[in-house]
Amino acid sequence: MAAITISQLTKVFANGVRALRDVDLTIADGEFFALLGPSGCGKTTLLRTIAGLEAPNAGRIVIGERDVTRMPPGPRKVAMVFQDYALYPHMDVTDNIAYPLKIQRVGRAARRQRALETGSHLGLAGMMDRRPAQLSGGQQQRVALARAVASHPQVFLFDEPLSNLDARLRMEARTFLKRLHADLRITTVYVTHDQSEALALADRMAVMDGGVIRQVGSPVEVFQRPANLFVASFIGSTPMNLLDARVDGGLVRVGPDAASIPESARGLVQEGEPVVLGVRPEYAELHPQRVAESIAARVVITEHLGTAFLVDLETAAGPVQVVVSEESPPDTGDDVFVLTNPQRSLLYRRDTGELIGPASSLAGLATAAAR
Amino acid sequence: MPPGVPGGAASAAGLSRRWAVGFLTPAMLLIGVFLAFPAIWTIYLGLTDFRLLGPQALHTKFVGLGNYQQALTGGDFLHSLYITVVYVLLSAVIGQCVFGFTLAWVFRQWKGPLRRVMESLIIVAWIVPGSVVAFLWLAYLQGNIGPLTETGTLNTILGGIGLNWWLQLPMLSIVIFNIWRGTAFSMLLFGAAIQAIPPSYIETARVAGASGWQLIRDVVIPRSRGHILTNLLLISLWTFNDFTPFLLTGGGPGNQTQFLPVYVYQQAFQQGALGYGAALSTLVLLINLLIALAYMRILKERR
Amino acid sequence: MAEGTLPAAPPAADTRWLVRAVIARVQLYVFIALVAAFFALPMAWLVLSPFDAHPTLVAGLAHPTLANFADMFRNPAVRGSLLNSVLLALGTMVVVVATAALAAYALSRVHVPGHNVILYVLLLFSSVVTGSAAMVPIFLLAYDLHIINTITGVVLVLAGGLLPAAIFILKDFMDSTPASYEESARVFGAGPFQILRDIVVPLVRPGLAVIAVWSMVTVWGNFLTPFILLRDPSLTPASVQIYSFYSAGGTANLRLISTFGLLYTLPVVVMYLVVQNRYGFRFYGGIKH
Ligand SMILES: Nc1ncnc2c1ncn2[C@@H]1O[C@H](COP(=O)(O)OP(=O)(O)OP(=O)(O)O)[C@@H](O)[C@H]1O
Ligand SMILES: [Mg+2]
Repeated sequence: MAAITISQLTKVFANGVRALRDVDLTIADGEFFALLGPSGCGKTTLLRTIAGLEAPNAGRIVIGERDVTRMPPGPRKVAMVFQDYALYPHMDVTDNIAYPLKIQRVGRAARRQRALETGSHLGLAGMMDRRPAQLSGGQQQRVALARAVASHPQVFLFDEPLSNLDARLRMEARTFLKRLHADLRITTVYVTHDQSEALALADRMAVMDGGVIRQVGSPVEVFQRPANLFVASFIGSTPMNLLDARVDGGLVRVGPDAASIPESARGLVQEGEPVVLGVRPEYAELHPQRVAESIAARVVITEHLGTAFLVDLETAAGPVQVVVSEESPPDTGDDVFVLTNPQRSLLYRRDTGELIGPASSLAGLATAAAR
Repeated sequence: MPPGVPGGAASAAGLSRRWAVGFLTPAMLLIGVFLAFPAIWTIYLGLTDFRLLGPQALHTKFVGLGNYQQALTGGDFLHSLYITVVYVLLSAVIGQCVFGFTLAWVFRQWKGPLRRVMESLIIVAWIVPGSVVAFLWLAYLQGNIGPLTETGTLNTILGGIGLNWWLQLPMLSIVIFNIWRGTAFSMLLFGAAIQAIPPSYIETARVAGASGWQLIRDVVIPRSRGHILTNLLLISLWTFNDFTPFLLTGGGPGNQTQFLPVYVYQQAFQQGALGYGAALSTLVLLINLLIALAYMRILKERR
Repeated sequence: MAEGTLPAAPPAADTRWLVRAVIARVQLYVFIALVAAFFALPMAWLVLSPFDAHPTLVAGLAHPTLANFADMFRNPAVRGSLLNSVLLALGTMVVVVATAALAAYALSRVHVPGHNVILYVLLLFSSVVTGSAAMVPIFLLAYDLHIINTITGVVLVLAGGLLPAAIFILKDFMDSTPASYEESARVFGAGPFQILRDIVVPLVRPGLAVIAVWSMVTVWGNFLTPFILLRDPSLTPASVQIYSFYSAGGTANLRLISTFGLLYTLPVVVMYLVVQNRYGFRFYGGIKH
């Protein structure tokens, strides 16, 4: 068991790509930590650098009490599960799971025993002598997990371990991972570009972009209070509405209309300041008549989401999306009014893109975040 | 390379440069010492009068381009070069290539045991060791004169013509031998080339009314150009450097089959003129290089 | 087509087409028969004579017997030369497979600038620097290195010539195995040799087998290099031994030559069949010589 402390980590590849820029990050002992970000933002690079598969150009990595920055991968006592699982096709399940133990010079009988125990624990009991090619994707994934577990690491590193599974298996495996982590409490770094996975699994998560960490926090914090415009536009199953606005009296003026100032920003803005109003589609309401401070809009199209409708609207300040309940979908062409929820809407400075107000309800935890 | 990384940038397997160099060294050493060095050293040796025996064995002199002068004006080398080129053209470039293509074309649509038997027969001729096939052909073409006083299989079948192939038609015999021996490679290569042509090409031409010959000329040959050139390069190089004629005729009768490898061997090891042999080696290497470079050039242009 | 609509006699044009088709068929079979005869007849002697008590130069089986084989094995030159051939083939195979695997692995996994060019130049070298072209410097080199007249010398010379193609082919095999296999082993703490032994070698086993068979077959049949480098009769391999059986003056011992020739040929044919069955023609076709 070990915490991970990463400071000032920089990685520049031989081709000049700066994949990590001064990354600072602390992952607590036993924590399930997700790394989220768009493709190419450096998630895999960060994970591989923690594993020791890439050497950083600058910075430090401490696992537990040990500075492992210059250490080869083996003695770091980490276990990594690759996106393609990297199961050895010429070994059966037992040998695959036991391979790390073989390297640790555990005797043959002892390692087979431990492989069987771990395999059984992960529901592989009946297939210990099969080759990887004779397993389904979900089973292969569990063999890869079992191999990682059997090596008794201090840290688990997962690189998009579920991305090769179909939607249903992915849900199952997600639950499975969550249970496994609850059982073992091993510090876990989990790379994904699927935010629902991060939200579902992680104790805390980091959002990366262009080799920089843009926000660190619990999934709830990151979802409810994205620290900057990048995170705001990246997180959420439907992207947050971001409307250019200006502070005007006690309101934010959006085109010809106005909305109330988000509560968390009250008292922190100056009159006339250019801002961006952030409203999640789920946290806005549609009204057929103007109510208080609301934004006039016309319905362009409605999409059925299963339990709700996503309504695409056109306003004077640009397109806006709102999720409404199943009972009351408006018709295309209707004129409606968008009412924002001041407790849930957010305000960003237009020049810096930073959130106005405390970054999280537990202010302080995320100080290392947004830069 | 990032500073401070143990052993330099590491690869997927954790091979640092130092490990990689270590892994490469044995192979590169062998190649360097036993392949590259001799090729370069022979240039120097060819400028000396190095001999195995006799006074020059002790006092090797630098003779400059004397060996080359001897080779290029003496007649023996030029004769040897000439008949070697004829041998390569007749047996490899025309014989093996055309025959191999014909066989690949005829076999193209066959499945079944007959084809396998035929192909195996042809391939066995190619893989049996040279010193065995040499004797097989000595026996096969034997006439009733010469060191073996009996008659071989072919003359027995042909019945009393009494032709002693090896003495009377040595060049033709050796050309036929080499076609027999080497056609398998061309057949296999062209077989693969023909397999790689999409059937729709051939069908389209057929529907348009192309005859078999037109089909080959307009569809098959243009589509297999790379294979044909590869084949020509390899079989030319192999035939040019083939030492089996030595086992068959020892270069004779007279010097009628004294192809270059045989000539080099005789000069260097039977006459003991290693300096002159080294000069000849250099010339053979140069010719090999020319064949290979010409081929690469053509291949690049055609791409 | 209903029977009633069949014309009483086929039109003239159809008959001509049929005749032409039959002629084409006959031509084809004649051609194939001639090809079969061309390739089979010289070989017939090797297949039949070993089993004839009094073989002549004409292929035939007038006095069937198996005694020739027993006689042959009593000949010390035959036994010794076959053993020497085995030593040469196995020795070269081991050297080529081991060093080529290491080199191919390094080239496949560590980025060496311009490594493709290097490989092609090596390959060009190996096809240009043949035994015939370089016999003089190779002889003198072996002489100066004091490895003339030794099996080791022949092994090293042959290995040097086979290595570029072997590396080239093996690198292809190694390039096609994903790096994550090795990376995961590395994370578990495996070192380069462990990774090579546990992961890479098993994964590229077919490639190693191809290289092993190819180098053994090539060395088994090689005549020139041992002919030049080995002067001591006790070191002579089968390729040279059989030549001395029929090139020496006097009457050739046809019983010995035919039996020895067959026995010496069989391993090559068997290995070829194994490779062909396992991996198809392509490998073998591309890399002979
Ligand atoms: N070995 C390498 N050499 C050079 N550049 C690399 C290398 N590996 C990654 N990169 C570059 O570094 C950047 C970060 O890559 P990385 O693989 O970490 O992204 P990622 O966040 O994992 O993306 P994805 O979600 O697509 O997996 C990318 O621009 C990528 O092109
Ligand atoms: Mg990635």
